[in-house]
Amino acid sequence: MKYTSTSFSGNNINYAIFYYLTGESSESNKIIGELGNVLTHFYQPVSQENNEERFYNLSATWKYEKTFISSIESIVLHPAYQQIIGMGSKVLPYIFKELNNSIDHWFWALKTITGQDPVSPSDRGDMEKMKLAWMNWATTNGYFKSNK
Amino acid sequence: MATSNPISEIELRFPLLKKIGYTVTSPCTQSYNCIAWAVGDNSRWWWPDANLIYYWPKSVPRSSDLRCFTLMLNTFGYSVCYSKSVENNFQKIALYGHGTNVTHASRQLPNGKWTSKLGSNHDIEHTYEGLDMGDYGGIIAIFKKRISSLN
Repeated sequence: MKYTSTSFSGNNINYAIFYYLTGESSESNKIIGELGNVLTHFYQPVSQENNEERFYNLSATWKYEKTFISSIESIVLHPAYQQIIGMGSKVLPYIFKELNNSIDHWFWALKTITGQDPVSPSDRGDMEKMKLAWMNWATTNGYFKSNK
Repeated sequence: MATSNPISEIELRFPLLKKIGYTVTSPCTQSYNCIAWAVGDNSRWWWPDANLIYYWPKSVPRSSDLRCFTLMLNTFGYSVCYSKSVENNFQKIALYGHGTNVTHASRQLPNGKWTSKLGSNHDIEHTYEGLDMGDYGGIIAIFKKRISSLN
Protein backbone atom coordinates (compact mmCIF):
# COMPACT_ATOMS: atom_id res chain seq x y z
CA MET A 1 0.00 0.00 0.00
CA LYS A 2 1.37 3.40 -0.92
CA TYR A 3 0.59 6.40 1.21
CA THR A 4 -0.86 9.26 -0.70
CA SER A 5 -2.45 11.00 2.22
CA THR A 6 -1.23 14.47 3.11
CA SER A 7 -2.56 14.24 6.67
CA PHE A 8 0.76 13.05 8.14
CA SER A 9 2.88 15.32 10.24
CA GLY A 10 6.42 15.30 11.62
CA ASN A 11 8.17 11.94 11.28
CA ASN A 12 5.07 10.40 9.78
CA ILE A 13 5.62 12.49 6.67
CA ASN A 14 9.09 11.02 6.35
CA TYR A 15 7.67 7.51 6.75
CA ALA A 16 5.02 8.23 4.13
CA ILE A 17 7.65 9.48 1.70
CA PHE A 18 9.82 6.45 2.48
CA TYR A 19 6.99 4.01 1.85
CA TYR A 20 6.07 5.86 -1.32
CA LEU A 21 9.62 5.81 -2.68
CA THR A 22 10.49 2.23 -1.70
CA GLY A 23 7.15 0.66 -2.32
CA GLU A 24 7.24 -1.02 1.11
CA SER A 25 4.01 -1.27 2.98
CA SER A 26 3.56 -0.05 6.54
CA GLU A 27 2.81 -3.67 7.52
CA SER A 28 6.16 -4.95 6.25
CA ASN A 29 7.92 -2.09 7.98
CA LYS A 30 6.14 -2.97 11.23
CA ILE A 31 7.26 -6.59 10.88
CA ILE A 32 10.86 -5.45 10.40
CA GLY A 33 10.55 -3.36 13.55
CA GLU A 34 9.17 -6.29 15.54
CA LEU A 35 11.99 -8.50 14.25
CA GLY A 36 14.45 -5.95 15.58
CA ASN A 37 12.76 -6.08 19.00
CA VAL A 38 12.88 -9.88 19.00
CA LEU A 39 16.59 -9.85 18.19
CA THR A 40 17.25 -7.30 20.91
CA HIS A 41 15.50 -9.44 23.54
CA PHE A 42 17.24 -12.55 22.23
CA TYR A 43 20.68 -11.09 22.77
CA GLN A 44 19.87 -8.98 25.85
CA PRO A 45 17.06 -10.74 27.71
CA VAL A 46 15.91 -9.40 31.06
CA SER A 47 16.72 -12.80 32.59
CA GLN A 48 20.41 -12.29 31.77
CA GLU A 49 20.61 -8.97 33.58
CA ASN A 50 23.20 -9.02 36.32
CA ASN A 51 21.43 -9.70 39.63
CA GLU A 52 23.64 -7.39 41.65
CA GLU A 53 23.27 -4.54 39.19
CA ARG A 54 19.52 -5.03 39.04
CA PHE A 55 19.28 -5.11 42.84
CA TYR A 56 21.22 -1.88 43.29
CA ASN A 57 19.27 -0.10 40.56
CA LEU A 58 15.97 -1.12 42.13
CA SER A 59 17.27 -0.31 45.59
CA ALA A 60 18.34 3.19 44.55
CA THR A 61 14.93 3.90 43.04
CA TRP A 62 13.13 2.60 46.13
CA LYS A 63 15.34 4.50 48.58
CA TYR A 64 14.79 7.77 46.77
CA GLU A 65 11.07 7.45 46.31
CA LYS A 66 10.21 6.25 49.84
CA THR A 67 12.27 8.89 51.67
CA PHE A 68 9.31 10.84 53.00
CA ILE A 69 7.00 7.89 53.56
CA SER A 70 6.16 6.64 57.03
CA SER A 71 3.57 4.04 56.07
CA ILE A 72 5.22 0.64 55.94
CA GLU A 73 2.61 -0.65 53.52
CA SER A 74 3.47 2.16 51.12
CA ILE A 75 7.19 1.56 51.59
CA VAL A 76 7.05 -2.18 50.92
CA LEU A 77 4.44 -2.06 48.18
CA HIS A 78 6.68 0.20 46.12
CA PRO A 79 7.14 -1.53 42.73
CA ALA A 80 10.95 -1.53 43.00
CA TYR A 81 10.80 -3.16 46.45
CA GLN A 82 8.31 -5.73 45.16
CA GLN A 83 10.65 -6.55 42.28
CA ILE A 84 13.48 -7.06 44.76
CA ILE A 85 11.32 -9.47 46.76
CA GLY A 86 10.45 -11.19 43.49
CA MET A 87 14.13 -11.87 42.85
CA GLY A 88 14.00 -14.35 45.73
CA SER A 89 16.79 -15.79 47.83
CA LYS A 90 19.54 -14.89 45.35
CA VAL A 91 19.13 -11.28 46.43
CA LEU A 92 19.72 -11.99 50.14
CA PRO A 93 23.51 -11.41 50.10
CA TYR A 94 22.99 -7.97 48.56
CA ILE A 95 20.26 -7.05 51.04
CA PHE A 96 22.44 -8.07 53.98
CA LYS A 97 25.39 -6.15 52.55
CA GLU A 98 23.17 -3.08 52.27
CA LEU A 99 21.67 -3.57 55.71
CA ASN A 100 25.12 -3.95 57.23
CA ASN A 101 26.19 -0.66 55.66
CA SER A 102 23.12 1.31 56.70
CA ILE A 103 19.82 0.65 58.39
CA ASP A 104 16.81 0.59 56.13
CA HIS A 105 13.47 -1.12 55.78
CA TRP A 106 14.69 -4.44 54.48
CA PHE A 107 12.98 -6.41 57.23
CA TRP A 108 9.74 -6.99 55.34
CA ALA A 109 11.61 -8.33 52.32
CA LEU A 110 13.79 -10.53 54.51
CA LYS A 111 10.81 -11.98 56.36
CA THR A 112 8.96 -12.58 53.09
CA ILE A 113 11.87 -14.17 51.24
CA THR A 114 13.20 -16.33 54.09
CA GLY A 115 9.97 -17.10 55.94
CA GLN A 116 11.91 -16.38 59.12
CA ASP A 117 11.72 -13.66 61.75
CA PRO A 118 14.66 -13.58 64.17
CA VAL A 119 13.49 -10.29 65.75
CA SER A 120 12.17 -10.56 69.28
CA PRO A 121 8.62 -9.13 69.61
CA SER A 122 9.93 -6.72 72.23
CA ASP A 123 12.40 -5.30 69.69
CA ARG A 124 9.85 -4.57 66.96
CA GLY A 125 10.35 -1.08 65.59
CA ASP A 126 13.80 -0.69 67.12
CA MET A 127 15.73 -0.46 63.88
CA GLU A 128 19.16 -1.06 65.43
CA LYS A 129 18.04 -4.19 67.27
CA MET A 130 16.14 -5.47 64.22
CA LYS A 131 19.24 -4.98 62.11
CA LEU A 132 21.38 -6.79 64.68
CA ALA A 133 18.98 -9.75 64.86
CA TRP A 134 18.90 -10.10 61.08
CA MET A 135 22.66 -9.70 60.66
CA ASN A 136 23.21 -12.43 63.24
CA TRP A 137 20.76 -14.62 61.34
CA ALA A 138 22.55 -13.86 58.06
CA THR A 139 25.93 -14.77 59.51
CA THR A 140 24.59 -17.99 61.05
CA ASN A 141 22.94 -19.01 57.79
CA GLY A 142 25.87 -18.14 55.54
CA TYR A 143 24.44 -15.11 53.77
CA PHE A 144 26.92 -12.65 55.26
CA LYS A 145 30.53 -12.81 56.34
CA SER A 146 31.55 -10.33 58.98
CA ASN A 147 34.93 -8.64 58.47
CA LYS A 148 35.59 -8.77 62.21
CA MET B 1 17.32 10.01 41.09
CA ALA B 2 18.31 11.19 44.55
CA THR B 3 19.58 14.71 44.84
CA SER B 4 22.47 15.51 47.15
CA ASN B 5 20.39 18.09 48.95
CA PRO B 6 17.66 16.74 51.25
CA ILE B 7 16.35 20.26 51.79
CA SER B 8 15.62 20.67 48.09
CA GLU B 9 13.82 17.35 48.19
CA ILE B 10 11.62 18.50 51.07
CA GLU B 11 10.58 21.58 49.16
CA LEU B 12 10.00 19.55 46.05
CA ARG B 13 7.69 17.10 47.80
CA PHE B 14 5.95 19.74 49.94
CA PRO B 15 5.79 22.88 47.81
CA LEU B 16 3.92 24.98 50.37
CA LEU B 17 6.79 24.74 52.84
CA LYS B 18 9.05 26.87 50.70
CA LYS B 19 6.33 29.47 50.34
CA ILE B 20 5.10 29.56 53.93
CA GLY B 21 8.36 28.73 55.69
CA TYR B 22 9.66 25.90 57.84
CA THR B 23 12.65 24.97 59.96
CA VAL B 24 14.68 21.77 59.87
CA THR B 25 15.15 20.64 63.46
CA SER B 26 16.99 17.31 63.24
CA PRO B 27 19.31 15.27 61.07
CA CYS B 28 17.86 12.55 58.82
CA THR B 29 17.34 9.26 60.63
CA GLN B 30 15.67 5.91 60.13
CA SER B 31 15.39 5.33 63.87
CA TYR B 32 11.86 6.67 64.29
CA ASN B 33 9.00 7.91 62.19
CA CYS B 34 6.28 10.54 62.36
CA ILE B 35 3.91 8.47 64.49
CA ALA B 36 6.60 7.75 67.07
CA TRP B 37 7.71 11.38 67.03
CA ALA B 38 4.14 12.64 67.47
CA VAL B 39 3.62 10.57 70.62
CA GLY B 40 7.06 11.41 71.97
CA ASP B 41 9.15 8.33 71.13
CA ASN B 42 12.33 8.83 69.12
CA SER B 43 13.65 5.29 69.46
CA ARG B 44 11.28 3.18 67.34
CA TRP B 45 9.44 3.09 64.04
CA TRP B 46 5.74 2.80 64.79
CA TRP B 47 3.38 1.30 62.25
CA PRO B 48 0.40 -1.07 62.51
CA ASP B 49 1.61 -3.44 59.80
CA ALA B 50 -0.14 -6.78 59.59
CA ASN B 51 3.21 -8.54 59.16
CA LEU B 52 4.09 -7.78 62.82
CA ILE B 53 7.45 -6.22 62.01
CA TYR B 54 7.15 -2.71 63.45
CA TYR B 55 6.12 -1.39 66.83
CA TRP B 56 2.47 -0.91 67.65
CA PRO B 57 0.82 -1.04 71.07
CA LYS B 58 -0.27 -4.61 71.75
CA SER B 59 -3.81 -3.76 72.74
CA VAL B 60 -4.60 -1.90 69.51
CA PRO B 61 -5.65 -3.55 66.20
CA ARG B 62 -3.06 -3.31 63.43
CA SER B 63 -4.40 -1.40 60.45
CA SER B 64 -3.56 1.95 58.89
CA ASP B 65 -7.20 2.96 59.06
CA LEU B 66 -8.09 6.09 61.04
CA ARG B 67 -10.12 3.95 63.46
CA CYS B 68 -7.02 2.07 64.63
CA PHE B 69 -4.96 5.24 64.93
CA THR B 70 -7.77 6.77 66.95
CA LEU B 71 -7.76 3.76 69.29
CA MET B 72 -3.98 4.01 69.59
CA LEU B 73 -4.12 7.69 70.50
CA ASN B 74 -6.97 7.00 72.92
CA THR B 75 -4.67 4.63 74.82
CA PHE B 76 -2.27 7.55 75.29
CA GLY B 77 -5.02 9.80 76.57
CA TYR B 78 -5.83 11.67 73.37
CA SER B 79 -9.39 12.32 72.23
CA VAL B 80 -10.76 13.85 69.04
CA CYS B 81 -11.00 17.63 68.97
CA TYR B 82 -12.10 20.11 66.35
CA SER B 83 -9.74 23.03 66.77
CA LYS B 84 -6.23 23.51 65.51
CA SER B 85 -5.65 26.41 67.91
CA VAL B 86 -3.28 26.22 70.82
CA GLU B 87 -5.09 25.45 74.08
CA ASN B 88 -3.30 25.89 77.38
CA ASN B 89 -2.37 22.60 79.01
CA PHE B 90 -3.36 20.53 75.99
CA GLN B 91 -1.11 18.65 73.61
CA LYS B 92 -2.46 18.19 70.07
CA ILE B 93 -1.70 15.72 67.31
CA ALA B 94 -2.92 15.98 63.72
CA LEU B 95 -3.30 12.90 61.54
CA TYR B 96 -2.92 13.21 57.78
CA GLY B 97 -4.24 10.83 55.20
CA HIS B 98 -6.03 9.96 52.03
CA GLY B 99 -9.63 9.23 52.96
CA THR B 100 -9.39 7.28 56.20
CA ASN B 101 -5.99 5.82 55.33
CA VAL B 102 -3.46 7.43 57.67
CA THR B 103 -0.17 8.54 56.13
CA HIS B 104 1.40 10.95 58.62
CA ALA B 105 1.19 12.61 62.03
CA SER B 106 2.26 15.99 63.36
CA ARG B 107 2.44 17.27 66.93
CA GLN B 108 1.58 20.82 67.92
CA LEU B 109 4.24 22.88 69.66
CA PRO B 110 3.55 25.46 72.39
CA ASN B 111 4.22 28.25 69.88
CA GLY B 112 1.32 27.06 67.70
CA LYS B 113 3.53 25.56 65.01
CA TRP B 114 3.69 21.83 64.34
CA THR B 115 6.57 19.38 64.38
CA SER B 116 6.81 16.51 61.90
CA LYS B 117 9.22 13.71 61.20
CA LEU B 118 9.21 13.33 57.42
CA GLY B 119 9.54 9.59 56.88
CA SER B 120 13.25 8.74 57.00
CA ASN B 121 14.15 12.36 56.45
CA HIS B 122 14.42 15.34 58.81
CA ASP B 123 12.21 16.57 61.61
CA ILE B 124 10.80 19.92 60.68
CA GLU B 125 8.81 22.68 62.34
CA HIS B 126 6.03 23.98 60.11
CA THR B 127 2.68 25.72 60.06
CA TYR B 128 -0.63 23.89 60.20
CA GLU B 129 -1.02 24.23 56.43
CA GLY B 130 2.63 23.60 55.58
CA LEU B 131 2.29 19.98 54.48
CA ASP B 132 -0.87 20.52 52.42
CA MET B 133 -0.57 19.70 48.72
CA GLY B 134 2.18 17.23 49.53
CA ASP B 135 2.54 13.47 49.61
CA TYR B 136 0.52 12.96 52.79
CA GLY B 137 -2.90 14.10 51.60
CA GLY B 138 -4.71 16.36 54.05
CA ILE B 139 -5.37 16.54 57.79
CA ILE B 140 -8.13 14.06 58.54
CA ALA B 141 -8.35 14.35 62.32
CA ILE B 142 -7.01 16.32 65.27
CA PHE B 143 -6.62 14.92 68.77
CA LYS B 144 -5.75 16.49 72.09
CA LYS B 145 -4.86 15.40 75.58
CA ARG B 146 -4.53 17.32 78.78
CA ILE B 147 -1.01 17.71 80.10
CA SER B 148 0.13 19.30 83.30
CA SER B 149 2.43 21.78 81.59
CA LEU B 150 3.92 22.27 78.16
CA ASN B 151 7.68 22.02 77.83
